[in-house]
Amino acid sequence: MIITLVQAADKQQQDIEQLRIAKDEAKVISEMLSTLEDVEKSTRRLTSLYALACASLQNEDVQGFAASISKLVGDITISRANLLSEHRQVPQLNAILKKMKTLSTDIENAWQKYAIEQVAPSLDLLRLVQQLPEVRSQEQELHALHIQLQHFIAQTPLNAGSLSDFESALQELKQRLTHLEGLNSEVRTFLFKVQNGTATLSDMTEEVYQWCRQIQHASAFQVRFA
Amino acid sequence: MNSEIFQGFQCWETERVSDVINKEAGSIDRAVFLATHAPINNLTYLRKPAAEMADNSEETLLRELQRCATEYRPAFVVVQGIPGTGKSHLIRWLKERYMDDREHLHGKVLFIERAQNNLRGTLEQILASGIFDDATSREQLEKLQSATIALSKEALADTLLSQFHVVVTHDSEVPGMPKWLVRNKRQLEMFLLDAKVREELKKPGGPIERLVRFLSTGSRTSMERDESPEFEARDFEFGVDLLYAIKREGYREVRELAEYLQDSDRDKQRGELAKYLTSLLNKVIGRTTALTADDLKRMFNDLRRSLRKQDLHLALFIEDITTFTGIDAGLVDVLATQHTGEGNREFCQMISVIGITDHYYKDLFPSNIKDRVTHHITLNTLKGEGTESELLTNNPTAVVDLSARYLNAMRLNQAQLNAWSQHEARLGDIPNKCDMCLYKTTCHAAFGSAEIAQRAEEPVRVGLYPFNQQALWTMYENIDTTSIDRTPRALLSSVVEYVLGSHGQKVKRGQFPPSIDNWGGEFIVPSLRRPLQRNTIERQGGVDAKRIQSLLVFWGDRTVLATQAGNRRLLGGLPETIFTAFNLPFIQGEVQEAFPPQTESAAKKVMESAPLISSHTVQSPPNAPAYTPLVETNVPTPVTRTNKYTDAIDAWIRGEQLIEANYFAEKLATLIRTFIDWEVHGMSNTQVDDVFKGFRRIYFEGQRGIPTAAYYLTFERSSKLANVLQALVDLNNTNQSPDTALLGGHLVGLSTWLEGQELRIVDFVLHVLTGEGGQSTPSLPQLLLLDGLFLACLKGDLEPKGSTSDALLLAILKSCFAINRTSWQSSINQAQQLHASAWSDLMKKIAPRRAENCASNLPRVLNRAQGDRSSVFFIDAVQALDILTEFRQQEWQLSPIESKPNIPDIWSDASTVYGTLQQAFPQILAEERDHVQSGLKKLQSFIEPSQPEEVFRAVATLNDTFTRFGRGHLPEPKNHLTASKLKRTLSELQSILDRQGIETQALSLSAALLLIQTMLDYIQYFADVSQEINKQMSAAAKTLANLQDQLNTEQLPTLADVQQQYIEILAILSQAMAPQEVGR
Repeated sequence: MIITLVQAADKQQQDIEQLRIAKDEAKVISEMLSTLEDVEKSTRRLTSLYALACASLQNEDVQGFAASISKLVGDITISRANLLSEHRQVPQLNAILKKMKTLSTDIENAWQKYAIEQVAPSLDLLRLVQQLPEVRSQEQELHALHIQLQHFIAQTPLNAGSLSDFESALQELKQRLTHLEGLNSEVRTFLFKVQNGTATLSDMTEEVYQWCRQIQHASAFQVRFA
Repeated sequence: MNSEIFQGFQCWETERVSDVINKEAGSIDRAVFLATHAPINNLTYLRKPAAEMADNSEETLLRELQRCATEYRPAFVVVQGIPGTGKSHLIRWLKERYMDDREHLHGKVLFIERAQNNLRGTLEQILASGIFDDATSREQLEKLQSATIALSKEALADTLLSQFHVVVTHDSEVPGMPKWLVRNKRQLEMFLLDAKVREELKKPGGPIERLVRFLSTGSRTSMERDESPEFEARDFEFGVDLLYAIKREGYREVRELAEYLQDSDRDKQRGELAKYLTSLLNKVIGRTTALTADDLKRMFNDLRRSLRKQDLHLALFIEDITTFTGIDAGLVDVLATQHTGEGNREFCQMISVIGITDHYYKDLFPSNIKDRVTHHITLNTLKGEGTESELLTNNPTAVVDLSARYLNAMRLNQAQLNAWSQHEARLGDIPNKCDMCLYKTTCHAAFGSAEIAQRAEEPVRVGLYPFNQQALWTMYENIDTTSIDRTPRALLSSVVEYVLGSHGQKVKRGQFPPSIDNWGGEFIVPSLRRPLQRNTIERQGGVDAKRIQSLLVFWGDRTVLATQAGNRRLLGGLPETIFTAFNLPFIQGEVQEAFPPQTESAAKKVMESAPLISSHTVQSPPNAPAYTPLVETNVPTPVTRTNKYTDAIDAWIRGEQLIEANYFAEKLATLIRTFIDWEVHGMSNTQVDDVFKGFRRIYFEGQRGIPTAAYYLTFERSSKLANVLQALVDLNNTNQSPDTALLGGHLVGLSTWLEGQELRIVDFVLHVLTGEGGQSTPSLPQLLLLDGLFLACLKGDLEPKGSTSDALLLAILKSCFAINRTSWQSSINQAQQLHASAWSDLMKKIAPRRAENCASNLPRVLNRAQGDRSSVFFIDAVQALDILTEFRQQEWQLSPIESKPNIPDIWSDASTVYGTLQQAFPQILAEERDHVQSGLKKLQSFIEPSQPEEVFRAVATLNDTFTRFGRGHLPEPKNHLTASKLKRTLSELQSILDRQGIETQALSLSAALLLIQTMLDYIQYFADVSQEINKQMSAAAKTLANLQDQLNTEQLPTLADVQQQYIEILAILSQAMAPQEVGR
């Protein structure tokens, strides 16, 4: 009687253990899938950013990014290879995920630097001329362009369309500023100094004077000498 | 009667006995009274006038009364005495003589006798005297007559009760009412009205019935102590039935008072209530009779005024003042009122003689009146407590004198006495029946005579036959004063009247005196001075022995000594004539050979040293025995052994109960224990001591009290046994110097008696129990040894190995040595854990005390003294082995016994244990076997079909599993529980069950204690393991179900899904890294 009882009890314990293992496995797989999902999302973002970089950034920058991506591919490949022996690769995947995010951030920073470099001269000129009567008339358009460009600097364009939009907006701004009359280099320097409060009478050249006399530019701003 | 020989002669008519001996003086015929009156010459005066009286005789007192009458002096004489001392007799004699002296009689005489002993009778006597007819008013006389009628009514009891109620209700001052009753007076009023209470008070013997009897009907028996009626505390001790009836039907007040009085500690209150109601008696009687003390006083005053006018005096002779109860206060007042003094000159002179009991004088006679008593006489002895008559105390002469007068009156017929009475009734002229008797000389010489008067120069001598002076005195002196007082009345009633009335007629038939055990009556029969002489009397007297003994102890000197007085032989101091007169053989008696034959001078010395009566009036025969001890004489006298034990033996052998039986039984038991060689009969002293310890096992036929033990040895009444008892008394009397001859005789007697009784006594000790169905009764060693065997078996001290009788006995003794109350109780506790319930139940039925007693008694009964050394013992193994061998041969069959209550402790313990075992042991063996079998099966059920090793291994494995999975641990087996031991245990248990034969089984089961313990340990262990496994399995089943539920309800992802995910990610990356235009 005791033997029978012992055997039954033992089998019961084994069954429990098996179910417990199965339950734990399911939990691990579930966790893995969840983590892989995150990895996939990050991968997709990274590849988008990499494509932007390839399209807009300097070559040396792009090569660096490419090398990092290759490394990531290697890590993922190793993890996958280890999967058979160790079903739970969550820590490894989390490490890969972290690297991906760092790389994405690097690409985004590179883009912002690039975009600011591209947009800054036009926006500086715009700030100099924005009070001019002839600019005021196209103030809304210019402002919209300004906002659009600022957005692309903050939000990295992740597809070709967005990049094209950026470039189009920049090109339009440049064109509008180019078409302003008499705005030569002396005038631009003078306006720059006026804007900074560093303009002096010596900066008031004839050409500058004539530009000021032209279409009542002088009333659009006050010149204060240091 | 033989006409020539003085034998069987009855000189009196039987009916004259009761005619003459009438204890109420007033009722006695005058002639008889005068003929039987014994002059009293030694009256004791507690008070008397200063004027000298010549002496203390009754004659002088009579002359004193006459002189008072003549000299016109008052005389208020009180005669006090306990009942029966002769108050009435003296007063009656004074009255008779006072009336005879016509020369001095110038007045009226009123005599109130106590004959009817009730108030009604008293009033009737007053009316009948006619003395008041002309003196007092018609109205007073009618009152007296009405009172008499009232007292005769049947409804007197109810009337009295009603009057009690009226008196209590209207008794505003309530003098004498107890304080506790004053507060609850209403309760008493209701109490006296309650029908149940009234019935109780009226019942025969109740206080109202007593009062009615006293007032109306009278009764010599009820009021013979001359006491006035009164309530007693016991009258208010009600029975359960009455209390219940009162509780159920009575008013609250009645119930409360009745309940209050019933408490056991309320005797004082009951007494107070009785005393209070008694104090109301006069008022109640007065109201009942409509006759008050004042009425009586008025009547007497009227009479005295009337007599004064006629120059007459009044002489009152009242036998007992208590007959005036109710109006006695008035009478006392009359008596105390003299004819002198300013206010009393209208009254005549009064001479009064009143009989008063001690109780009345002490408690009821007013103190101020006591001073007016002129002559106060007491008839009590002043030495004792007033329970003896002064007249007869230490005065055999007076006893003989009084008896002789009555004997003479009984011998005469009434006509002879009347003739004498009518001729002045002078004592000197009194007829003497002896003068006309042929046997006078012979009779008087043998029985003696008394001088009752002088006739001319010749004394009038009356024979004492059938008594002699010794018989009269012995009988009187031996009156049992626990029931009656020793008074003249007792002498007449309990001696003279009783002997002649009850036994007198046997004289003619030659059967007088009756045998020693056939006296009856109110006197105690004395014993022989030397009890062993009883044997001589029996031997020589044959069928008349007991009558001879009667004669010797009453008439003789209480010995059977034969002596010579001149040429006559005396036996016990009595001559042959007396024996012949009573048709008794004049036996040889005993002769004191150690002393020279008694000479006539010696015999004369006996008479001198023991004169019959010092007075010349009584003449004893020359052979008369002495009533004073004989020791002062030169006659060799036996040592007096009349102690209480000797008296008891004598009384017993006469057919009376044996008193002091415990004393005799104890002494006899000691004799039996020590004189018989018990070991010869195979008995130890312990066994005998226990039976004959104290007195309980010995019962004498006719002893007082019932046997205190159910098991006792009866010894029949016999003279031989009486001698043995006497010997024991003498041998234990250390105050007495040993009489070697006597001791020798005693030792021979004891030895002979014991020899005759030995087998019977031994049989008694051996067979305390009776076997059922005629089976032989086990002996005590048998009982105890078998008890010991079974106790050892039950306790687990026996083993089957080498079960020889020797080994068994050794084991029993060893076990018994260890058995005491504590160890037995421990064994019971252990048995309750290990054995079948029947086994432990049987042990529990044997009380630890009994087990201890049996165990300790076994070696004691087997002990035998080694040689003559009483301090060294050995065990009588032969006897024990015989018993065991026989028992084994009978295959342990205990024969049934019938236990008896109150047998000796050692038997009681042994037989009780034996009886318990006998009834239960065969069954408990079977049940114990079942118990073992059941345990074995249970154990096997845990193991089978595997082997013990496999079981232990599997349990160990599972334990590891549980440990591994964090399920705790299975119970650990005790160290001694191993697989290999389990295998051995199973084998041994099976071996026990395979045993055959009751002895083998009993021994195996007794020895199996440890094995059973181990078996139970295994069972417990496996049960614990099973329980734990089941518990774990139950929990696991739930867990399993939960897990299965969880896993079944979810669509679980697989590892392939994960692989696919990896592939997709790598594909994205690969696609991004595909060669393209890079940078600007």
